[in-house]
Amino acid sequence: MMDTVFSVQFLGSLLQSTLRVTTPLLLVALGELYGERAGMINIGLDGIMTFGATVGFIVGYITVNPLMGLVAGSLAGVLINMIYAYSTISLRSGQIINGMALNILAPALSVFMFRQYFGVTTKLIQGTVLASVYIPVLSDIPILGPLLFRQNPITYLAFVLAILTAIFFNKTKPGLDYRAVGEFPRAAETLGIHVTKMKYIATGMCGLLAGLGGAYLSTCYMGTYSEGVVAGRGFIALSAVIFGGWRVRGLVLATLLFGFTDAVQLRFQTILPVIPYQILAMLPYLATIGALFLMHNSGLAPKANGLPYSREDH
Amino acid sequence: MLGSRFKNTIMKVSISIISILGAILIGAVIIASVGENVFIAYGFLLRGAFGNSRAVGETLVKATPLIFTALAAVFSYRCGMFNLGAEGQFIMGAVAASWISVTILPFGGIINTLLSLLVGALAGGVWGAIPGLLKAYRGLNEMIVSILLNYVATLFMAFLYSGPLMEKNIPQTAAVFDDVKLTRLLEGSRVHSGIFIAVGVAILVTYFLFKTAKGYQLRVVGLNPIAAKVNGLPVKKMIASAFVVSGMIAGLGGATELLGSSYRLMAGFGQGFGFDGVAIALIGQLHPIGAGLIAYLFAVLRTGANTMQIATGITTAVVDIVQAVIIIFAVAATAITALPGVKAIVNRKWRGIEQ
Amino acid sequence: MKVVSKRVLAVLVIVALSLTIIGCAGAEEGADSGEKTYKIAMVANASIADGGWNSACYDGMIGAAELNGWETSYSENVEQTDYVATFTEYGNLGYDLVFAPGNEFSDAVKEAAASYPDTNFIVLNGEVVEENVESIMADNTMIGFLAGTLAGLKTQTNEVALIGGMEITPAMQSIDGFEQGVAYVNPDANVSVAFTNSWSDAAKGKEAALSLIDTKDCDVFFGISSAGDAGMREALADYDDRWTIAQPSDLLDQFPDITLTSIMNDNAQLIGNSMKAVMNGEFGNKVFLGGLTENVLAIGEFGESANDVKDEYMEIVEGIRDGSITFDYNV
Repeated sequence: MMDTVFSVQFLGSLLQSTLRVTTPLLLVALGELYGERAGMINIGLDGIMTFGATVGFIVGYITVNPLMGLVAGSLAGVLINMIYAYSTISLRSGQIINGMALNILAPALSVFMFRQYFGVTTKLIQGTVLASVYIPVLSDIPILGPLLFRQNPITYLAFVLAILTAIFFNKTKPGLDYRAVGEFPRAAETLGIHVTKMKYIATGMCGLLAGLGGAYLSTCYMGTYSEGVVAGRGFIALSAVIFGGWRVRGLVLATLLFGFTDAVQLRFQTILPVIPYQILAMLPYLATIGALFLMHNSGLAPKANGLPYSREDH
Repeated sequence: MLGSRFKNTIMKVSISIISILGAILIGAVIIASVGENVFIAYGFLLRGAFGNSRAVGETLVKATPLIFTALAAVFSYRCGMFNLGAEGQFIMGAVAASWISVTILPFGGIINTLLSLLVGALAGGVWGAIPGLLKAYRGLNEMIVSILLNYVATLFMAFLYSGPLMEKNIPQTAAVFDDVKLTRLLEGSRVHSGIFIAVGVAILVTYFLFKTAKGYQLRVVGLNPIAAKVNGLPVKKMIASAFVVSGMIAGLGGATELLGSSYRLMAGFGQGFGFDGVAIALIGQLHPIGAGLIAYLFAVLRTGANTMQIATGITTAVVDIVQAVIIIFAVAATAITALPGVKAIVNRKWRGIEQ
Repeated sequence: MKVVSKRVLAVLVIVALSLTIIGCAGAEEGADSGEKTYKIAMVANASIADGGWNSACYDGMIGAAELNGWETSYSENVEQTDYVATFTEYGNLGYDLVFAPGNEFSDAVKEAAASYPDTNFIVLNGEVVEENVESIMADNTMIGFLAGTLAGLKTQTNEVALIGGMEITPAMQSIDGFEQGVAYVNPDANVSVAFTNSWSDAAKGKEAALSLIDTKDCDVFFGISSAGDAGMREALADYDDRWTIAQPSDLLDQFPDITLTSIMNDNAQLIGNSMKAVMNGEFGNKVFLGGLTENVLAIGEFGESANDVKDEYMEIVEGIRDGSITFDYNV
């Protein structure tokens, strides 16, 4: 058994699997970061992802072009998140409850749409998948080759976006302005920042990336769509943002930790069949709580996170 | 001269009613858009929920667990804590009750029932204590921890019913003994005495929150933790205990569901009750009685939706959409009345009525 | 201001009126027309379009209904708390046969069947029998054994795999049969099992398959995880030397390169049997176990990749059919 665990091939495939599991989580977590940095907590990520996955799959199927599916899925995410945006920003109602409403509404709409289009089918419908990039020579290097040069384009996109996001929030003037909206909205307003507009943009970004993450599941990861394909990934992405201390670096590590432990538990199921799989499947959740406990970096949350904002009242 | 509290209550109740009616209208549009007769569809929905004593009973059976998880949410939210883990606490309560009742206790009867309910509540409390303590003394985000613990609880239950507590070769626990089950109240209907426990807890929670000093302190912590701390309230201790009590309510709910309705644990037990409870609590304006009524409404919609789907073939997704729209309308309507402009209008209007 | 409240009042009145009308309209329904058309309904605790278990059951019901001229209905995503209510509702509506696709419905069926003696119930994979309840099942152990023998014959690495969704009874029976089947033809081969812990997470099925390849170098896969199987097939499609045995319908057309064959589970046959019993007034108090001889199970078309083992395998299938090859029912 030890030979298996320490073999180069085992390690390589474990890391590959980690990247595949991490990609959608990272995209969605980045979306939530854009939201929360402007003070918008959205626990409706699961719903947005489902909507993105459904619309993405249907459009990808019709156009026979997974890229179109990804674009449509992202836009669908923006669209459905505008319900949340209007209700929480303009009407200033509670963010948590609106997020929950999305989690009920979006999957129901998805089922409705999918069945209107495909009818009640009992066969899985097969769509086209966005193929992985394959860079010759470089991708043949052991471990690092497949890991760095043989991935899905969206995986590259997710990590590039993470880097750009980090630069945006930490090094640019608009990024600092953006953060001010989540920290001190009133002060930001006096500095000439249009807080309400920024919040709408933030919610749009959140919907865009969460929709993209969902569409990735049904157009890149898999070529089929089944109801319930998102399977709680939105909540994991949500916890990654908080776990990562609202910083890109932390968030990347958090999603990688989850992806890694999930890949590990699947492998342990075959290496250690004596342990019931239900116990092994707890690993990613327990590891996340454990890591949270050890790091316990609270106090970094945007100060006005989750609060409604209006210019007029005090 | 009418008190402002009375005014508030009227406002809140009418907002709830208007948003429910609005959502029902939207549902009607959706039903019509798929080419079904709205009146017949809604007719079956009502018949499914109220048509006969069996239907009425079924609605109450459905409402019971929702009341518990909604109360669990109300209790923690009143202390400013987002307990999104009621599902896990509900499951752990049922797990403990099942284990005690079937495996440990050597006798049946009412003593077994009471002990199982008690142990269920305690188990829920312990499961709720984890995010509570981590929040209070370690600053960990309670939403995240409690959500993650839902997954762990579900897997733990699955481990038990397909392992140590499995009945023969079927992945489910053995049913509780007949004389341990909660009594059924109506001939030909499944409604059981658990509904009284739920209502009892709702009254207790109302009394505690609004009539006792401790309840007042808890609400102060919820409204303004910094002021509470300045005034010498043990904020951390109160946060942790609010979570424990919230977990106990959910755990008691799980035990009640087990002893009153499902009798055994199997795949799918308790799924979704936690988040439903949170939504219900928030629409019910975080008031225990309001939450109880909204829980009943949700039960009406769901029991009715079942019948509607059976009779007309309209997918239950439509009812899910109606529910989501009720939530959005209710919170949006409440929020609109709190907008400064609207507030001023309402106040002026109110003065007009009084004079 | 006045206008606002008047509008609200108007809306309230309209809605109240329409609700009243709705109530009346609903009450008129329910009375049935003269001629006897038999009606069957299926109650599912997940989506009937899950691309796996429930899809196969729903297809079976539709197929049997078309053959026998029955009307169909279904309820899906029914929560555990609503099982009894849903069954009794069908009893209430005078359905002739209600189809419960899983042992988890047993308690609820028992309760509903007692109150509605005129409605018949069939429980798939169940054990309950009453005057108006029959349990029917495809022989899951045989399904596993059929898949296991082919996997054992075909494997080049002597490592074969089974991917399950959750640990439910039919899954455990299939696993038991699979292990016996592999051991029967190839005692050296090793069986690995992984669970996706979901019936809808297709992506998890892909990861599980890849992890089985990486950790054990498994080369023949049998999937019983509903949507997860689709992910498993996508993982295998990237290789030339990994194959799968499909179930519960013939998937060779869709995945010709990786499919050795399909173990087809003809639910239409199974349900059609019960329909005939209802029509002839012979229904009740039976457990029906359907295998190869009952035409409930069948072997599908063979893919080209199965050419080397096809003949030997068909001999085994015949042996099972005529009883010269047997296996144990441990679960």
